[in-house]
Amino acid sequence: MTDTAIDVPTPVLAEPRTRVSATLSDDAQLIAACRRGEARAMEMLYHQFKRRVFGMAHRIVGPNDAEEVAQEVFVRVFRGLAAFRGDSALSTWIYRLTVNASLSHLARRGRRQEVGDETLADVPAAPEVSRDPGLAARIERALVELPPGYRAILVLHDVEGLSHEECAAILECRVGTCKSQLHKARARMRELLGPIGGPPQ
Amino acid sequence: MKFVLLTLGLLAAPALAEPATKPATKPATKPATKGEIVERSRVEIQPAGHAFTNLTVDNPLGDVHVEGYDGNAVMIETHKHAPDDDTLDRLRVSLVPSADGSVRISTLVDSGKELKQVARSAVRIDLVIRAPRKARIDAATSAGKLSIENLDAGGELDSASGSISVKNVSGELLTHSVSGATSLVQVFGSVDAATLSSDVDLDSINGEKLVASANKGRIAGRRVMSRDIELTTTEGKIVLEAETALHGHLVVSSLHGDIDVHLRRHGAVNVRARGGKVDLGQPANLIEHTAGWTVATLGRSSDPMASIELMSKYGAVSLAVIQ
Amino acid sequence: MTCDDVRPQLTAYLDGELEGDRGSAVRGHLRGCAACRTASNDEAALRDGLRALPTLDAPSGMWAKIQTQLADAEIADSEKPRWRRVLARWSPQHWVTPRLALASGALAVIFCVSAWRYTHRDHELPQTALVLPQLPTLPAPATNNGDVATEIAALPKTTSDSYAAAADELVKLATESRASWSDSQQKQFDAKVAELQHDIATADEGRPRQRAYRTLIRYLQRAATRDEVAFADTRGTP
Repeated sequence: MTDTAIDVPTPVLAEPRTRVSATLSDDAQLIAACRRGEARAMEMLYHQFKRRVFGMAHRIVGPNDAEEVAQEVFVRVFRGLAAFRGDSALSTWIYRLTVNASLSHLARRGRRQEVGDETLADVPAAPEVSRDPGLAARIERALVELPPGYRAILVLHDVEGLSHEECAAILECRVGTCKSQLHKARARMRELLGPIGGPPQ
Repeated sequence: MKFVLLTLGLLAAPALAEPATKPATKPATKPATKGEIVERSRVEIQPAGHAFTNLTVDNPLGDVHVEGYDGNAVMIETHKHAPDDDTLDRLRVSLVPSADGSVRISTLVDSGKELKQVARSAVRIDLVIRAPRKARIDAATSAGKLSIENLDAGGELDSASGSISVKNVSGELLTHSVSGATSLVQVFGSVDAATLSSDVDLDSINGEKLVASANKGRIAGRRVMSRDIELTTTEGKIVLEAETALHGHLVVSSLHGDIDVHLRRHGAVNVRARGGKVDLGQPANLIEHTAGWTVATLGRSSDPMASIELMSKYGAVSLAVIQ
Repeated sequence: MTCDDVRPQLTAYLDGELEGDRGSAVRGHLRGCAACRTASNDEAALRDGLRALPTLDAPSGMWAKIQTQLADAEIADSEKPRWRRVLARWSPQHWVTPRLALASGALAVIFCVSAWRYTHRDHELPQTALVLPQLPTLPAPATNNGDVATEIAALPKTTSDSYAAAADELVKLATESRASWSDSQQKQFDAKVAELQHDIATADEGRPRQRAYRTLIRYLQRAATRDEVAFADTRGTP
């Protein structure tokens, strides 16, 4: 940052990673087909959601248990479809199952470091450059150290790019609560990471 | 739930008169040339209640071929081409049958990971469809070929740069393309074919009305027997072999293109022509010049009269009549 | 505004949720306060860093394992007495009371019997999707401009543009012919063209608009090649 021109960060509208969730009528056809046990529909539903489910599980429970949790989620999805009442979008319901399964898994297992013996304190503070190739790795490691609740909201909103409304529906809390949780989660992450550096993109 | 259904199914099976929906064949995934993956699969849709009356196909990602046959089901073969599995996953075909007897088939590409781009040329979905003869077809492609064959209820075909090909179809037919060559062969019914910058080729057309236009393209017609014919180009040549219908009308006009008509007449015809150069192929005593038009009446005026107008602003007009 | 006022609002500010003067108030403070600026730069960098985390691929064998687990669960189901199964399906976690559940469970079975004949003849979904609506309410991310999905989404407009270009050319050509028409013919022509252009402007993008363009193009072609506006009018439109 120079003296003559101060770079003031400007808001950037968060771009969702993918499109807005499907309308309920499209979900309904897919769900109906899966309930009939149609193998193709089930496989299609799986492919549609596999990356998000696995990704969320991975970032909440870590790489070692992600697959197990993701499998558990899908089994619950297909077994629970019969009782799914459609009062939320299919995606919201599935992500809710994912977050719940991940958090339960963590609670059962007890928190434990995923990344070898290296603690965050040993990670050298990054130089103040805006593009830091090591940043991604440091963020992933810091995520592990966050309390699970904060981890979940960061994964849903910042990593997966879901809106506040969707996050609130998934976490079954109010939008306001979601927003303040997000703020606290980011603050906690920043404490863990130390100076990140550089002006935003 | 599934178990309950299965049991009921086994009990109910002997009572069923018709075979169940044929299970789709497992998709065959095999590597094609140059590290491309091709996946083929087949699906059959049986109508629940009414037979299928309308088939709508929207495929911006490849070819569409629809063929009529004697049967009630719609059978769809999809051929997907992609450079890798991830991209293949993104290629979707959607099938929506409705209670009113229509089926809508469309293709699309899911938006993928933010940072992974796939070029349009790298992916493709071709559809080969067999449909009941009586189904009306409403189909659209972009650069892919669009062809229909052996159908009885006409339809509307739309492409951007893909060629359009129709063979042995009856019913009212509309085709439009920006730059796709259009070919209609053996069509019985009213036809309206329009292109912007490609040729229109007509062979064995019969029906009430035939309207064809090309902006920058040629029109060629053979064995055209429709009652009312209107052919128009801005720049291309028009060549027509036609038979007049009693009390029929033929209007051929172009701005820059030459017009060359061979006519077999039934009954009398009244011809008016205008152009850079006009040759009606008639002896001088049959020809009049009125207000810039070259006019001739052939046959007995007591016979049913068909009217013919040939106009090219800057091109040559020629007519040959055989009885 | 003090730093204590601004800090809690930074997240909302950076995510573009502060409107109008609330946003500019924060921005004003940031211009003058290096500490808050650093904090907000850090948070923005964190947010961008999280956003840029790589999308993870599900392991390729996962579906097979899921199917195995589902199959195992079904086998276990089949070994339970039926009433237990029905109850389990409608257990409290699915938010339905057991008594009500048994009744609806029975109804469901009856429904299945009658629905069997219908549903089994219903279409079987191919291995791919029902379409999810694609709506970019936000501008498409710049990184994906070369992607096929973006290109396909732009196709209707591209095609309409081709029609528009042809229509423009034909207007010029028809105007040349128009010069030789009578006043009333010219008026008729102008009115018709204006009407058809209005139809184009009010049509939805995609096929409706292209249809409207084709109508205009036909009309102009007839006017340009036949010199007879009245004739062009009576012949009708495609």
